[in-house]
Amino acid sequence: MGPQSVTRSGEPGAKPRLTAYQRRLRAVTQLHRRRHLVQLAVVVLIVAMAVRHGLETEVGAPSVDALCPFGAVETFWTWVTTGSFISKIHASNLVVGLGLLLSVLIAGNAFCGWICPFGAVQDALTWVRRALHIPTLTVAPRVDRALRYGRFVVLAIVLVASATTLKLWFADFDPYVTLFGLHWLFEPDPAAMWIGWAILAAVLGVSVLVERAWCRYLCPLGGVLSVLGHLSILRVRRNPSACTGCDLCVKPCPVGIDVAKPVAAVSTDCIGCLECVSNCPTGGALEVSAAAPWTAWRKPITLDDAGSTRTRGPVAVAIGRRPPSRDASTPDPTRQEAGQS
Amino acid sequence: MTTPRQRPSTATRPPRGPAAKPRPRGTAYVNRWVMPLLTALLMFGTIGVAQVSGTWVTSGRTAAGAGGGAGDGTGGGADKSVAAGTLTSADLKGWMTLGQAADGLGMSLADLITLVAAPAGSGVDGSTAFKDLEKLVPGFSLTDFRPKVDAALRR
Repeated sequence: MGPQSVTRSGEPGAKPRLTAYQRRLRAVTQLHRRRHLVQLAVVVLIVAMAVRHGLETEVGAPSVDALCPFGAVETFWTWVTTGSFISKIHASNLVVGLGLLLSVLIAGNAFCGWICPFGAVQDALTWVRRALHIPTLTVAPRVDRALRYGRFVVLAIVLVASATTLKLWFADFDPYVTLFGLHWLFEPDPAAMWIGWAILAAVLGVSVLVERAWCRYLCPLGGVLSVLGHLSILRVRRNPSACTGCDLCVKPCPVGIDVAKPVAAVSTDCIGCLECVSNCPTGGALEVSAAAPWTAWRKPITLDDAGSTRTRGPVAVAIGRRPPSRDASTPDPTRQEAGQS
Repeated sequence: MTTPRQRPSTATRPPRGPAAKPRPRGTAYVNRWVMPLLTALLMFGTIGVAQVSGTWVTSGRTAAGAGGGAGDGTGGGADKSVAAGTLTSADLKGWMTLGQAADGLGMSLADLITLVAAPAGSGVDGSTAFKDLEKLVPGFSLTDFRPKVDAALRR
């Protein structure tokens, strides 16, 4: 049973006045409902496209390859240098890629948190894990930071292989294509597909234990978007002067970002799911805001935005380096405040 | 999909902070729902504009000069003919039938079927698409087939 609510006037039928906890709970529930509904709609759309492609081969319904924005990245070098696409890639990939580029530059990287069908599958696995009370696997922070470079390693391999073979080389290994391409349903060929199936099984298995493991450590499109995210106008930003340092925003983050760390803009690994914003109990401490991208690049590394001359250079920002840790002799005033209360 | 574990904890819940503090310079508050809404709008809006303008092409059937319909968005065209002699081996696509490929390459269908080396009784004919050959002819690969076509054209 939920907490008791009181009414504004004390009369029956009057609008109840919710406690802070109830307001936050309502915001989180509302967010989950909307986000999962959007994710479900996109998954249904993609599966419907794949089924149509599998059944209506004569009509030539588009395959899931033709609808993937990463196809634009894979064929980009070949397209620029030769004017043609690698196999299985069409103009539609460039269109979807352009749409994603525009959305990331203007509205941040909400694609991963709201639209990506493979992200939805991983979120569903997290839901299953919680329902079954399976414990999570905690990755040590240093290991986590190192593993996140895996996205760029995969990206480099895919780009080189695609440009040299002129084929959609990654399709045989891509868990998104393996799952949503539905080749396992319409034209199963274990001899040719076992590698893709093995990778998919491994990714899904790890995603049960580590939330959004594919997005965190291996997704090459996520690597591209994390770099482009530095140019986003809309981003989740933290207001250090309002933040009480309660850390309630850290735990719900699906990609394990330390949202409460003392920098102004949340990491570009952010998938725009808004979990942290909904969980923040302090008005104005964590919110979506618009700003010119370069303001984040020159942000002083201080808690209260005053007085410090230390800044993050654009190179450090671009590779996602963490800011230098605070001097132990200068205590964190906001955390002190939270500790006293 | 909310489970009790996801609910905000009351144990560490701090009191509501004082009145809203000033935001960092150069930032403007935006309603949080704008982020996903704008993302969806830009993604699907771009696709919509491409469909209207005819640049939404999801299949090579409409892009390889396969007899019109470029950008019709349907990817249809299995029954469309390929202009004779307009193709090279690099233009061969999985959706093409052997008949279309023979027309486009300017070689006879019988020669092309011979190059495929289909086993007897496999039912390969002019209406068979290259992508279906992979199931009908063990070990067939369009990538490996292209050099054979080049060699045959040079003869």
